[in-house]
Amino acid sequence: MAKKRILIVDDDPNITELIGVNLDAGGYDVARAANGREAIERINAARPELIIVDVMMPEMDGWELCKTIKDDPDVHGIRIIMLTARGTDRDRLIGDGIFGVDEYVTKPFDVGTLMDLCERLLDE
Amino acid sequence: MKGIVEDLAAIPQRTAGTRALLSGIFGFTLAVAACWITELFDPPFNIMQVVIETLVISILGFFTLRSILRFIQRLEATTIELQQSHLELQEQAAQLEASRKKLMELDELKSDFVSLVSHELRTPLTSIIGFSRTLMTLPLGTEQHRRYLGIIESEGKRLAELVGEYLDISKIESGNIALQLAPVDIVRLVEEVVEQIQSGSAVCVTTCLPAALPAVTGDAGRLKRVLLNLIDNALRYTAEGTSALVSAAAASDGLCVSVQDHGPGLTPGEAARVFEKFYRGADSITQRSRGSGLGLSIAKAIVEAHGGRLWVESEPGQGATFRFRIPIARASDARAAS
Repeated sequence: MAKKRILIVDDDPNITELIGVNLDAGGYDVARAANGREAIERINAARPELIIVDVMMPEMDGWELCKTIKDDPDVHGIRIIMLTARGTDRDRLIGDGIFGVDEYVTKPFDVGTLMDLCERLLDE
Repeated sequence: MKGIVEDLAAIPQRTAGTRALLSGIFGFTLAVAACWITELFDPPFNIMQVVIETLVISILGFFTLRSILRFIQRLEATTIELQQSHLELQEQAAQLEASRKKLMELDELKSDFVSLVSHELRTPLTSIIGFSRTLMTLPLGTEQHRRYLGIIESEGKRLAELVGEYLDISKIESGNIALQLAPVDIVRLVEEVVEQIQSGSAVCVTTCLPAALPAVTGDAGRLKRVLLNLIDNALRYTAEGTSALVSAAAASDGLCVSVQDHGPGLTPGEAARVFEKFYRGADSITQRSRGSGLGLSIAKAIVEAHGGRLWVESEPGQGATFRFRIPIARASDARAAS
């Protein structure tokens, strides 16, 4: 069975590395992007099953990326996990309603928990 | 009659309207009474009757009219007072509304700031905790192992810097900048700061410094913060391939340090607001940049606490130069510091 592909979008290279090395060890095919624009390039090049995206990024923030994905009929089935340091309820409501974010993870997160979350979402 | 007039005069000023009214009624009553009294006389006294009636009516009419006029004057004066009060109240209401809007703007900026601080502090923590855990699953002594330990160390340092900056901010907010004064060698300070910034990053900062400058009395740590903030700001907006320039020179009553960048420059509107707390520029791109919006306001507070001045010279498209001037050490300050 082909490896499931996961795209990590975060402007902090350490976070990308941290999640990436663990996903690699978990047997996933990992793609990385440092901002929204790069993320869209990666998505168009090779469609991932799951995207992990940070909410705060320069140029195009996490919300905008999600909206772009949901608006595109080719890719709107991709599951989305959003990394946020805020964790306020308001943010969750906005995300669920319009942007179709599947799960929220508040920083600092436990990498193991994130891995379990990925597995669960991809199995559904 | 005199007694009645005195009584009327005795009524206090506030009821002047009442007084006027009562005078009027009294006058009218007297006129009617005069007519009735003169009616008691026989026809031979007709002319007398007319004369007496006319006189009495005229005199009392005069007094009544005067009272009515005074009453009207009093009403006019009161109306003018009320109109003025109304204008003053409207002005106060407008001022309150402006203050309220400003407070709400500040409140929104503050909660944006809290979110930003939260994010900025939690990101390095994520790396530190995450990599520590990941390391437990990796073999020792590999290049990857060493690299991750390096990341943990640098993220820890980044966190320490941030915490220092945010603590500085809260001290300044509560008005607690207690400067630790001592003679400061600005040239060496600039060199140290530039070295610190350049180590481990690809940015380019050049300096133009004289061999020596007169010593100033200041807080070296805080002045370092000023330089760091100004240079960090310059680098944030410096176009790729160019560099930020730091220079220093003696001035008439002190010394002057300048930090120049080749970024987009500032419009007059932005230049006027650039030192405001939380202000991060007029357009959305600069607003999204990672700064807290506090660097310049902190720098300004520190420079002013030293008795100096911080300002910016800029034209749109021509980059920006931030300059600050600090007075030279005074003999008394040097004695106080030692």
